[in-house]
Order: sequence, then C-alpha cells, then structure tokens
Amino acid sequence: MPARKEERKTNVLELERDVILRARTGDRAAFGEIVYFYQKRIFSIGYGYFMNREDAMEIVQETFLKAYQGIKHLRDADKLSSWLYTIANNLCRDHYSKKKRRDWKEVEMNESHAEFIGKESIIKNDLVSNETADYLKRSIMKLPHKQKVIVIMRHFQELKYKEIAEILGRTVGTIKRLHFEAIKKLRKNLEENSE
Amino acid sequence: MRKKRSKLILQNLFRSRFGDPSDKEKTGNFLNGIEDKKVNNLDASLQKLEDGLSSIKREIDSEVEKTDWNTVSENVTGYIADSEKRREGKPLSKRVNLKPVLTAAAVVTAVASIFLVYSPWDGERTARYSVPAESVEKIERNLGRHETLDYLRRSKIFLANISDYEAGQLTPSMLKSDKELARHLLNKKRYLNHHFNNIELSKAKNICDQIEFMFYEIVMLEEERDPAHLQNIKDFIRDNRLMLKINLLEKELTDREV
Repeated sequence: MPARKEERKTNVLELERDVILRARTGDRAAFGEIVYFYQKRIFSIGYGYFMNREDAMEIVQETFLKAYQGIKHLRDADKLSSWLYTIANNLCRDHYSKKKRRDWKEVEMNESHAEFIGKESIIKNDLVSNETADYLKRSIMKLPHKQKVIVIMRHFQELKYKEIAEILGRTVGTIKRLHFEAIKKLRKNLEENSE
Repeated sequence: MRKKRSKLILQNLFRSRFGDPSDKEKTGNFLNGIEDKKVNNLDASLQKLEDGLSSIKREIDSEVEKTDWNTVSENVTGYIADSEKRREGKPLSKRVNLKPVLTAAAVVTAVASIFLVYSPWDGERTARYSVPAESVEKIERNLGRHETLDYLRRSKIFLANISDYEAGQLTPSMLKSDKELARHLLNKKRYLNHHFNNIELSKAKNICDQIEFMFYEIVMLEEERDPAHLQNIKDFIRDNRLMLKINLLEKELTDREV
C-alpha cells in the first residue's frame, strides 16, 4: 500500500502540468505520456467493472480516445485524473448496457447477464474458494453503477473516501453511505449463497 | 428495535473493517459493549466478504503486472491516430452530429420569431420596455471582450503563419490573400477601438495596437522587396514577443469570460 501511494505521488509529480498543456494543443507525444501514466488505473477500473481483460482493454482505448478528443476543453490541468476517471466510468456504464443488450440476445432469458459474464473470469486464489470469489464477482456486477464504481475505487484501487468524493463530485458522507449500501448487499448475497 | 440494533452493529463493523483509519478508531468502544455472538457472526460474514474482495484485487493486480504497458500505450496512441485519420476522412455531416445543431437553430428561430412578433417597434411600447443601464453596460462589456478574443485568435493564427514563411516562399497569390486578410483584420480592429475605453479592456489596447501595426506592414508588402520587409515583420513579432503577449491576454480574457 505505501509503495502504491508513493507511485501515485511520483506519477503526479512527473506528469508535470506542461505535459498536459502540450497535450491540449494536440501534441500526440505529450498525450502519449498521459496514456502511459494513467493506463493501469483505467485498466483496473475496467477490469473491476467487467471482470475480464478484453473489456478492460477496450475501456482503456476508448477512454484515451475520448480524452484526446476532449482535452482541449479541459480548463483545469489539476483535474486531469478525475476527468479521466469520469470518462472511464461513463464508458463502463454505456459499454455495460450495450453488452447487456447484446448478450441478452445470445443468452437464455432465464440466465442473468451477470451470471453469464461471471463465467468468463477464473479465480486463481487458494485462500478463498473459487465459488465464493466467483459469486462475489457476479454480485459486484449486479450492483448499481455508482455503488459498483465506489467498490472498485475503494477496494481495488485503495482510494480514500475523500479522493473518491472528489472524483465523483459527491460529498464524503454520500460516498460512505453508498459504500455501506454496497457492502450490505454484497454481504447479504454471500450469506444467501452459503446457506 | 432489534433490527435497528443489528444495523447499528453492522455499521460499526463495516466502519472498523472497511473505513478510513479515523472511522476505525470511533467504532472500538461501541463494539466492546455488544454480546460476542452477534458481533462474531456479523464480523465473520464481513471477513468472508473482505477475503473475497482481496482475492479479486489480487487477480486485478496480477493482470496489471503481467501486461506489457509499453506495448499497450503504443497501441492506444496508434488507435487514437487511426481514429483521428478516419474521422478527418469523413465528410463534415458525418463528423458532426447535426441533430443538436438543427435543434438549436430551430429554437433560435422560434425565439427570434416571437421577438419579432412581440417586439416594441413604436415609441409608446418602447418606453414600457426600458432596460437598466447596468445591463446595457454589462452586455457591452461582454461583447467587447468576446470581439477582442475573436480578433486575438484570428490574429494569432495569421501572424503564426507569417512567422513561418521562409524567404522566397511567399508567392504572389499567397501575398494577395494575406493582404486581404490583413485588411479584413484592420477593419475589425477599427470596430474594436471603441471597446478599449472600457477599463477591463484597456490593457488589450496596447497589444492590439502592435498587432494592427503589423497588419499595416503586411498590407504594404510588395513583391519586389518582400524578403527584407518580411524579415522585418518577423523580427518585430519575435522581438516584441507578440505571440506570447497574445497568448497571455487571450488566457486572461478567456478566464474572465468564464
């Protein structure tokens, strides 16, 4: 955890404001630096959302394409990271509904989308049973968009409530409440599964 | 009552397990006073959940680690370049979503029609619709700022092009179109002059005057002596750091516009 924080801090320092300013003028090399620094974070959002590598990579590509097309409108260079998160979150939501519509045509009507997607991923962990982790993944995917994003940021990216609140433009109180709601649902689902 | 208490226990366990460090401190005392079995059962289920979440996190981290990020960033920038090329190749109607533009145009037309129908054309009606002087000033100020910004943006592009010309590169047809553009911008500047009385734009006057001087010089460019003359113009732009001044002024006015 400290190493990750240190990495984040270094990233911010290294990605100086002039890189962002250069990227705003259409400088592709400068934009390439932005891609390099933020791609892992965007990937983990995509992975947490879809629980598979292909969709996560698609989110990475589309996020940076949108960012490239819109960076000239980004007035505050300090807001780059939360702006990228917002693009990625919105893309995840849109991609998820498209995928859901597409998959419904392919999957039998009595099988939920989350169950279908859950089959794509394999858990490689000996401490937690495959079944539990797999079930948890499907439960996360069934959460409403905002709660899902909060779970991803809090548990998979280890962000503080304050950081999540800044990115999502909500108060810390709201984030805590939504996080609690999400955890309550996940716990309940796990309990029901184990009964 | 029991349900409420269960929720309270769960909330405190949640804080102690998933909260920020400051949240964890607050929960200690509360949980100590609760009967063990209840807390233990709930805590065990949260422990299971936490283990599951950690397991997924480990999976994500391992996916991140096994990825060659240099290749990914190259692929992403390549994908952006391809998409941009495809986008540029498309006709304007395909690149721009015309639906909102047409909707906006329809709304503007409707508002304009209503205004024309109900507008106070005769003197008697005009008197009933007096606009406060403050608002007029504000509109005038905003218009001045907007026009100045537009002038600066056009001038910047034009002067940047002029600065890029190499000796002998300026053909008669290029010179002709440049002179026309310079004349157009000189006319625009004449219209702008009265806005510079406004204190907010007084700073812009000096820079706009320097730009105007450049445009006069461009209008006077003649083919037979253009290399030296053109060089003088380029030197003036460079020595006076005209582009930098324009950029700074542009930024200042844009910030105020927001």
